[in-house]
Amino acid sequence: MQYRFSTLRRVLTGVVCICSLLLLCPAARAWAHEQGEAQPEDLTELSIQDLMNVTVYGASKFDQTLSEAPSSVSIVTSDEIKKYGYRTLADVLKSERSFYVRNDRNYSYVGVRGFDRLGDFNTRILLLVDGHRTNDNIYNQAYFGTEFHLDIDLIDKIEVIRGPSSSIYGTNAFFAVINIITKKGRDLSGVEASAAAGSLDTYNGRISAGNKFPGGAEALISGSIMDSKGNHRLYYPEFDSPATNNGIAENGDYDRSYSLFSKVSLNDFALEGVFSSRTKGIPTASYGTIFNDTRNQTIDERGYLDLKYEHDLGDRSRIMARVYYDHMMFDGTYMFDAPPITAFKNLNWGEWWGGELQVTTAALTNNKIVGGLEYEDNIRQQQKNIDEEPYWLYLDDKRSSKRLAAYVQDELALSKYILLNAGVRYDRYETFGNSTNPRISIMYNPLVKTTLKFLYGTAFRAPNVFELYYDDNGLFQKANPDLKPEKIITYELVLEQFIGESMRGSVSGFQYRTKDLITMEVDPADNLKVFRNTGRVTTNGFELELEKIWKNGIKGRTSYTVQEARDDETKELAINSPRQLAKFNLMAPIMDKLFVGLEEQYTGRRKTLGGNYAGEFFITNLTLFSRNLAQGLELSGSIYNLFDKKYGDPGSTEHTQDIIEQDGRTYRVKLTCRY
Amino acid sequence: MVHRFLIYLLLPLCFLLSPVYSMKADEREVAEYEVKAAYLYNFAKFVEWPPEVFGGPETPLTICILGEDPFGAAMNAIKRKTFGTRKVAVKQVHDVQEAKGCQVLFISASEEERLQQTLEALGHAGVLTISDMRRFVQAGGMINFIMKDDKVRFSINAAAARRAGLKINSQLLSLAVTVME
Repeated sequence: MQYRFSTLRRVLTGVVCICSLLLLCPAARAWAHEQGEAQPEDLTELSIQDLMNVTVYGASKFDQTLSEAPSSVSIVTSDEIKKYGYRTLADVLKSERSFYVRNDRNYSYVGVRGFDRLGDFNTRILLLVDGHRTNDNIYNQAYFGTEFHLDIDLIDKIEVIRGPSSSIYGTNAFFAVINIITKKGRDLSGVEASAAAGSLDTYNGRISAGNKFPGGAEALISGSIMDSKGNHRLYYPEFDSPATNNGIAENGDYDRSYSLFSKVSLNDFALEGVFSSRTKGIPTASYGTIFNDTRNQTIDERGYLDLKYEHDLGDRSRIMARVYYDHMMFDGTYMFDAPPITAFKNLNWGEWWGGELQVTTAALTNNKIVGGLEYEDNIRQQQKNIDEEPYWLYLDDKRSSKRLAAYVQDELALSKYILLNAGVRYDRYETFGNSTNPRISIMYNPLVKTTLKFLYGTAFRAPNVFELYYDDNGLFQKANPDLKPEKIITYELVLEQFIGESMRGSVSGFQYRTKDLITMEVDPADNLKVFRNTGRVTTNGFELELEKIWKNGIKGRTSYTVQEARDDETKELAINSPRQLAKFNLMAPIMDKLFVGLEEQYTGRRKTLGGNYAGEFFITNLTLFSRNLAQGLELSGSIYNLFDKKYGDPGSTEHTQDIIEQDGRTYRVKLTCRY
Repeated sequence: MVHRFLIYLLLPLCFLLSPVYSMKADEREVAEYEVKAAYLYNFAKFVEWPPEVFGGPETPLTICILGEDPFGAAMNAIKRKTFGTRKVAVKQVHDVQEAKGCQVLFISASEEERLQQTLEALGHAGVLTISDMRRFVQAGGMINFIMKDDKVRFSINAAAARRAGLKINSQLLSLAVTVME
């Protein structure tokens, strides 16, 4: 597997290089120009539909539709991604109010409003790409770090929707929904190539081409590669003994991936395809594996095809139909010293397809109604555990299941000042039965610049096949097919105030009550791990946010969260839950064509599994970004963790380490050329 | 490994060596009020005024701005346009009485305090009122500009337009973010 991947990687690298050399050829450039549509200089010649799609730079106003959203929504634009030097979705969320991230040198895990249980796999956040659900069908895991299957440069906009949204999206929309909207062919209008080099021997390369053609067809295609040696000398005091290389894990933090993305649309149809594969070394010797063995690694492969049809029905109504096919493969290699030294393989395959139908209509006066039906068929959900040599089969579990759902939501203008948004969704699963989840929000505008929102909603998280059926025949863990879904009930009160035209403030208080949390326990009868619906955690919190846009293009925002997540039974504070979070972002133009992006993030101390605390810390990130220093060129330099702050994230149940130290100061230089 | 390093170093060098940077028309930065000015002209195509509002076929389509002018030079593109057989005239007006003579009236955010009186005074004069101040349509204005995803969109108060004797084409209503009836 490793050999095959590295050959493929070299071939791809060669392909990317050849492509970039081809771009030097004038013929290639001429083609790019011929195919491109010239943007008319005279805006008054454009139709209303075209005017609606013109992006305005340096807009002095906030997105005004967010005040009417039935939840707390933040938008991150591709412009901000460039100017703050975000490398992954995890970087983006670290600067967002309510969020904090934990990394175990394998994956990045996101906590929302004080909640991130150790041993969880981001199952309580739904990650969508252009409306396509990316959480897989074995672990329901959302990928936020370098494991995410899309190059961040392909993202046009990220919608961060806090709060439960199962009333529209179903399972996993427990704490938040992150909706990624990708760029369109017309956003590229030609060929774009990008290369980046950074600390820890990290290299990125990307080639993208896209265009909107006369006739209406639009296409975008992109390929990316990433190769990082990682921190090649990691010291873990827990392993400091002569037998384990004195605690030094060498060359075990490698991270490599490649991904392909393509998107074609014609009239009402849009077809999108993604394929990606990512290999990560595990230097932490998790699960009791052999320390300092570079063969410990995970490979995540993900691919899907999504065909969407959208049509205006007239009378302010629209219909959307979608059909998709997904594939995932996980290959984890864990070296154990039985004796003898054996490679334990955790292999998962998932295949599923599904369809959606959605109708939105504003035909009924003062109502905006959305209704939909969803069907999903999990053709393959296979979990296999083996020892490679000598061969031993621990588990080969194959499942398939179907689910069906129906939802409806209505936004009703009760009066000039009050907007009511109510929705409910019914989900039916073959595994556990059904779940019904409502959401109600009332938005009141007592004054022109003031909005008061009251939000109530519930959400659920269905048990996944790993929690239900993973059973390694007496080794570590046994199955529990009787698992029920987790449930959350939330209440939130938000006050949003516009101060002048360019400043916006919001204050909110929330209570999140979770129950039947699927928790890993040890059965005293056989000492095996098993998942049970036993967790109950209540979080009470308060948040403040202030945003300002200055006329000269300076944009700033700051937020503060204070929260308390407590276990209902033990009354103790939850593990890995910081009591306070604070964020600060500032983006400013300095000189013509040059921008600076500054970030400050404070995370309060977090309790670890060992009963200790991962200390509080302040992180500073700084990015200098330039556009058109030479025409068509974007150049940026970033310094992450500017002050080289030493900090760590709590280790999880599979780690010997109680706290896992994170990287110190790192750099990145990035270059993007457009043709 | 040496070869890995070389391969990835080649990529950025390729671009530095290539003299291919070219300016593309769509990289021109479009300003907010250029877009809004284009909208003001385009909205008129979707509105039917009562016949007495236009004196005759020679009467120009008069687009007025009440209050502080946020458009400046952005309006120049409109001044040169024609509206069917009519010319387009752009005027700055200083009070409601003057505004009654316009077919399209942009009410600037500077008039926010006086909004209720202004709208009441306009009454049924057949003037299409447009603004970008917050909650303009909820207050009784006809078309309100709304920023969404760095793009200029709009909401419509069809009831207010009807009361003033104006008929707004359903095609425009279908493109609005919100329509108040």
